[in-house]
Amino acid sequence: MHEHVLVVEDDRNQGKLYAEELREEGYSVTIATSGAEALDIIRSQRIELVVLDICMPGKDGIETLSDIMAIDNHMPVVINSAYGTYRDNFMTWAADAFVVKSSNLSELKSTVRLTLDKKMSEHH
Amino acid sequence: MSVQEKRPFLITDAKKDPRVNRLIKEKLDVEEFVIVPLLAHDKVIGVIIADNLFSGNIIDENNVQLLSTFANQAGLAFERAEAHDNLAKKMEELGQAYVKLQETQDKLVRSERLATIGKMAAHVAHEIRNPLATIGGFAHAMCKYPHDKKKVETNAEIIRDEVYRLERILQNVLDFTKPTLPTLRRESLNKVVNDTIILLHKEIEENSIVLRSSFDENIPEILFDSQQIKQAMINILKNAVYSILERQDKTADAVIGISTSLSKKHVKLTVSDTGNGMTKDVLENIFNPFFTTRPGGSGLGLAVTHKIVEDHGGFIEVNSHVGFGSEIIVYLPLQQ
Repeated sequence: MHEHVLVVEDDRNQGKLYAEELREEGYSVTIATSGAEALDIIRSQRIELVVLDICMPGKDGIETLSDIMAIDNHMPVVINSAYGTYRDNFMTWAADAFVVKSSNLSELKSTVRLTLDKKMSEHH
Repeated sequence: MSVQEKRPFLITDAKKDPRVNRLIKEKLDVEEFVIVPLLAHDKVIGVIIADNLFSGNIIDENNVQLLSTFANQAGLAFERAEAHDNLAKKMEELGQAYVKLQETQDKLVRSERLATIGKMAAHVAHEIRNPLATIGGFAHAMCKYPHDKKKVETNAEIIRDEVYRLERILQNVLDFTKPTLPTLRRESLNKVVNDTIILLHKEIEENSIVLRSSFDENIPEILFDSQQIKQAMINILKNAVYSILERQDKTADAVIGISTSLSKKHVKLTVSDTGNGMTKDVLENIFNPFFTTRPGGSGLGLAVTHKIVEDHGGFIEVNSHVGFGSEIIVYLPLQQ
C-alpha cells in the first residue's frame, strides 16, 4: 500500500510538479489548492504526510497548519515555501520540517522520506 | 526702602531722615532728592536718583511723577530689550534645531530609500523563486524522459508560462521604479474610463461579475495622461475583481460599480466592489510598495496607482467595510 501524501499548493504548475515527482517515489499523491480543501481531505481520507505551502489565498499555510494540528496533532507536515524567512515564524515550528522551494526537488523528496520514517519509528 | 516697597520716595532732609541709607547719604551729600525704582517684569532692576544740587529748585510731587513715568518707560524698554535678546536666542536655537531636523530628515529619507530598495530586492528574490523552482523542476523532468513526447510538450508549455510570469514580475518592478512624469493632454475622462472597462470587460464577465457604470456627462475635458490613468484604473479594477472572487459568501452579489462625477475642484472616479472589504491593517498599507494580500501579487498595483494620481496633483480616498466591500475614489484636479 502506497503512503498517501497530500500536497497543499495553490500554484497549479507547482502542485503538478510535486505530485509527479512524489508519485515517481512511490507515494500516492492528492493535491489541494487551498487550505480549506486540504482540511476537508484530511478529515475524510487517510493521509500519511502533508506537504504544505505557506503563501496561499484565503487560509494561508500557517493557519492551515494550526487547523491540521487541531484535527490531528501527530500529522507529519513538511512546509515547502519560497520564503525561507517563515522559518523564523514560530507558528511554523509545529511542522516537522521546513524546505525552501527549489528547482532541485531532491531535498523535498528526502525530507518527506525522513519525516515519514521518523514518524513510523516513533509509533513502533 | 524704594527697592523693597517698589515705589518712589521723596526725601527732603536726607541727613536726618532715618530711611536714607548711609552710603547714599555719603555719596550724594545732598539734603533733597528723589529715588524711583526701575522695574522690569515687576522686579527691581535698579533705581534712579535725582537731586537738586545744581538747580536748587524744590523737588515737588510733579517732579516725582515725571521721574516715575520716565522710570516706567525705561523699565519697559529694558523688558523689551530683554525679550528681544531672548527672541534672538530662541531664533538661533530654532535655526540650529531646523538644521538638525533637516539632517535627520535627509538621513531618514536615505535610510527609507535603502529600506525600500532592500524590501524590493527581497520581494523580487522571493517572487522569482516560485517560477524558477517550477521551471527548473519541469526542466529536470524533461531531461529524465527526453523521449516522452507528450511529457516534453506539456512541460515545455509550463516552462513557457512560467517564463511569462517572470517577465511580468520584472516588468512590474521596472514600471514602479521608472520615474515617469505624466504627459498631460486635455481629454475626456469618461472616454478613457470607458476604454479601460472595454479592456477588462472579458475578465469581469468570465468571473460572472455584474458591472454597473454611470458617467456624469457634464464633466469637462481635463488635463491628464490617459495611459497612466488607464493603468491606475486597471490596477484598481483588478483588485476589485480579486476581492469579489475571494469573498466569503460566494452566493452574495458580485458587483463592480464604476462612476464618474464632478465636485467643486475635482473630477471623481469611483470604483466600488461587493468583495471582502479590508481590515484596518490592510487599509493602512494598501498604498505601500510590496504590500499585498494576494498570493503571487506584486504589491505594486495600488502603489503605482497612488503615485500616478499624486503626479497628477490628485488624491485617493478609500472606504471599506469588512464583509461588505470597498470603494476607491480617485480625485483628479479640474484645473492644473
